[in-house]
Amino acid sequence: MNCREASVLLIKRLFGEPDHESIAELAEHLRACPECARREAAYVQVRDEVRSMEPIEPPGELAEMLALGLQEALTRGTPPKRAPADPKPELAGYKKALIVGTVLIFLVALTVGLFVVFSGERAPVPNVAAVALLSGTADVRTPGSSDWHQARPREFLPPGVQLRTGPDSALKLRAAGVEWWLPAISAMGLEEPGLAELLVGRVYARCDGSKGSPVKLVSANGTVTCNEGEFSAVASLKRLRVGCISGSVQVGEEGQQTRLNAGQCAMLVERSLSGPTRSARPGELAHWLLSLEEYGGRCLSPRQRASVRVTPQTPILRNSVRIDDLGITAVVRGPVALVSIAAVLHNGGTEPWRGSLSAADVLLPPVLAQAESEPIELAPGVEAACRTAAVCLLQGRDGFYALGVNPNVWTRGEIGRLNLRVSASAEGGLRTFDCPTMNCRLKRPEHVDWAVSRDRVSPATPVVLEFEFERADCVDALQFETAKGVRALAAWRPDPPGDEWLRKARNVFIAVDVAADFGGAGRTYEQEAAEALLSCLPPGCATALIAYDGGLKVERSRLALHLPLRVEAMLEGLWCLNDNGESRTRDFLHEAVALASGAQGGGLLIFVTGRDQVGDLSQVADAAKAAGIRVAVLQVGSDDAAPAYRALTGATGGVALGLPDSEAPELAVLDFLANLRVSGTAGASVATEKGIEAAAFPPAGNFANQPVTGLLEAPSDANPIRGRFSMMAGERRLVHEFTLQVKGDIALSGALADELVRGLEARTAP
Amino acid sequence: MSGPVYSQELTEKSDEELWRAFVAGTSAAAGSPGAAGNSAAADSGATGKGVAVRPSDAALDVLIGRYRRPLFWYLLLSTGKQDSAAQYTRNTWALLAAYRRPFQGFESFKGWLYAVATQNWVPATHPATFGFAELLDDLKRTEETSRRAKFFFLITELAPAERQPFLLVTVAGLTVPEAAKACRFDEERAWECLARAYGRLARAELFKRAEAADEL
Repeated sequence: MNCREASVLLIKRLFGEPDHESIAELAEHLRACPECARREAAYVQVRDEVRSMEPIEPPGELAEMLALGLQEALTRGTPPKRAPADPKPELAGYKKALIVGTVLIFLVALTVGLFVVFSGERAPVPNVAAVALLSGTADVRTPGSSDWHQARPREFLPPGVQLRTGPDSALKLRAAGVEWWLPAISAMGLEEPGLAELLVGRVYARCDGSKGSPVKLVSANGTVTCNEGEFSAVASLKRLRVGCISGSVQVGEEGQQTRLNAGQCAMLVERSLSGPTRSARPGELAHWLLSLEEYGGRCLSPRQRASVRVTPQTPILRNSVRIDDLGITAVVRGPVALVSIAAVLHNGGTEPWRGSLSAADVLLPPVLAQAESEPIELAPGVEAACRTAAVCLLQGRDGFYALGVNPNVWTRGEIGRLNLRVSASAEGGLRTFDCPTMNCRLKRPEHVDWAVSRDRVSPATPVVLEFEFERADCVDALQFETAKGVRALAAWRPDPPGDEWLRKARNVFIAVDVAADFGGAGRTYEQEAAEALLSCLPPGCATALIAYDGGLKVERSRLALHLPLRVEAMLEGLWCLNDNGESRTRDFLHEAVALASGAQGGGLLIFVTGRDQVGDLSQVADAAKAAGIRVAVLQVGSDDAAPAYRALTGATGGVALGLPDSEAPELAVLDFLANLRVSGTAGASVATEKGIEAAAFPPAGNFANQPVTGLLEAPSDANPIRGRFSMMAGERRLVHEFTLQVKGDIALSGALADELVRGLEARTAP
Repeated sequence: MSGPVYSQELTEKSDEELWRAFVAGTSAAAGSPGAAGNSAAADSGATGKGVAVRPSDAALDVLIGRYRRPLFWYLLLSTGKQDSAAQYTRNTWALLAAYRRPFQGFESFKGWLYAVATQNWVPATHPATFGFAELLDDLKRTEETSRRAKFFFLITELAPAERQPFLLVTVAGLTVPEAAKACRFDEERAWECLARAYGRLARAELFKRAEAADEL
């Protein structure tokens, strides 16, 4: 008997008499479940309290109303034939909907069938663009009008129309031979379906070659032409960045055009090519693939999107290499998950392919440890199997935790067969489990053991498993046998208060250290990052820009509403700065904090700097804390944020991220901003009694709502292990005591298990 | 409001006997305070206006008097609006009076009465919005405001399909099979809705929220 059944029986006992067998079962359940036992008393309290309440005296005019009503009723000639109440149960709403839906589908299918049979020739497709998909709200301005109106699904757009998207919206337009995707914060004019002008932001286009004439995208800085293929274009005041995703595109003006093949990027400045074409960074390519498919296919929610991350190291398989069989097994214990992946790859091309599949690059939440997979060599026409496993943390956002696997970045072709198996227990407080990819929802959260197989699956939609837990602190453990005995990985999912960063930091100060060392990619990359940052900041906040290029520049230092025109003015100011000044990062940070401290109500200071080393920043941290300033640091050109920056941001509730130049700046900046949305946590630790070795992994990026994990080296006679997790969330110390039974009940091949443990131990070493 | 004075024999009759008397038109003989045929039998009765037009209406008047306050209370909790509750109370009795036949398919008159009120004005299968704010304004003028406000806060926490079974069983005092018929639910669904309603109300947060309402 589960708690839900028990609650019904409790009610039956309260208001009726359940049968003896049920009573016995209920009594047994109540002995085992103190929560249900408490619930019974609460039910009685509710009933008694409600029944003891004195009814309200009806208003005086009720008597008059009754008299008039009765007089009318009693003097009526013939009484109504229909009984005023019907004792028969009515069909539940969903059953009715099911019946009506089935009938409607049948009618629609019949109509379409008849239309196809009798309509003769197909009606010609009008050469007009129409809104094919709308997520959030997007605005449209028709030619000759100065007013914007909200775009509607399936709305036909006349030539000369202008479109713009908001911060959380996306728009897809379809016309004969071309599809345009307009992601968030972008604006575009559509002269005709195959000719568009990108005003600001990004656009994706997919041309299928059926139009006859090439599709053209123009902007102030250059033109892109495409007959057949997909491309991405990002426009800013001075540049147009173009990336070819598949097929080929021509960039530049007529007579000076340069051809880009799939996976190549180019920059256009003032209508001509600036610098050589380069290969797309893996992160960029993966970002394109993910974005395109998301907007084109099934729309993932922001939470689901956040659960699948693409990284610069993400392996992109050649189009000729396909996945014949993909098996994903996830064992979930509270916020930790053990995921094993087995894939059978097939090389359908003419050239050999070498590579390997790595769990860490296709999994998000952050991977704590992974087993290395063997390198794969695929001769043409040959297939090979590969197997890997990883221990990872479910990533939490908005009370939901998600585990995402993204086969899309492995292959753009179809997956021959997808096998998915999930095993989870409700001991960690699991309430619901959803898999949007497979369209399934868990009905009984007490225990999940769920498996599904599908043939011919499109990898376009990532496999996302969503979990919702009880809103309370909770510790659960993943335990498996290794050569050294049972190892337990305990994870604590704290429940600190969420903190929307915008609410606390409506004032955003952007401090750009132009004189810093940005590594091999140089100043251009820093500019791209700053541009992405300024473009991605929500329009509701007030911003100010401070820069240093050897001398302190205060550009647009007064806080003002963050609008597109202001972004352009800020970027103009940044581009005019020299980058050969003497680097004085620490002093500049001091100055920036001092300037930001002058604002009323504190704020957020985003410090964009290079990979220069800085010393102790404790004084800066003190000053920022005193002024209520949260400091966030984006270290461009550095693989990881420096410890001093981590300490500074940890102390002020911000976040520090490194942005290596191999990564797409937009992607990293979006990640940076998304992670800023929650308050900082720090100082995670785990301690156990009985002298068991224990080490804590702090949550990735020091973000709230993320689980804290601890690796326990538990001998078999250690049961039960008692211990305590603790960490700081803002000014509050969160502590949770736990008791664990070490079981080692998860079967995993010995080699994979040992590798995972080695990986975990390596993490704990420093 | 001063009520009518009926004979003990009449007032001690069960609901079902009174309804049968009303249907048969014999309740005048069963003891209205005045002479048979005297319309003063119902004068200042539950209606308080002496508008009953037949002697047998004394039985109806007694029934109305019995359920005047609980039925209004039930409909008020179902709608959250004083005006709607009064209107629906009037409409329910008018419907019954016009029907004037034996009820079928229901075990008791009370179950039938609440079924008529529920199915015609506050159906559990097509619930209307709850006029909570308006009700709270009204409550500010009454005694026991804080306790009732707390209760109304609790009621708003219920899903619409859970509200009617909960009110019928807990407030109106129907049995669950009767409440299921009134809601046109099958019995199992009624038990589940009731369990869900109690589950929601038993949570401590609701009581905390209700305490906040005390300050209103």
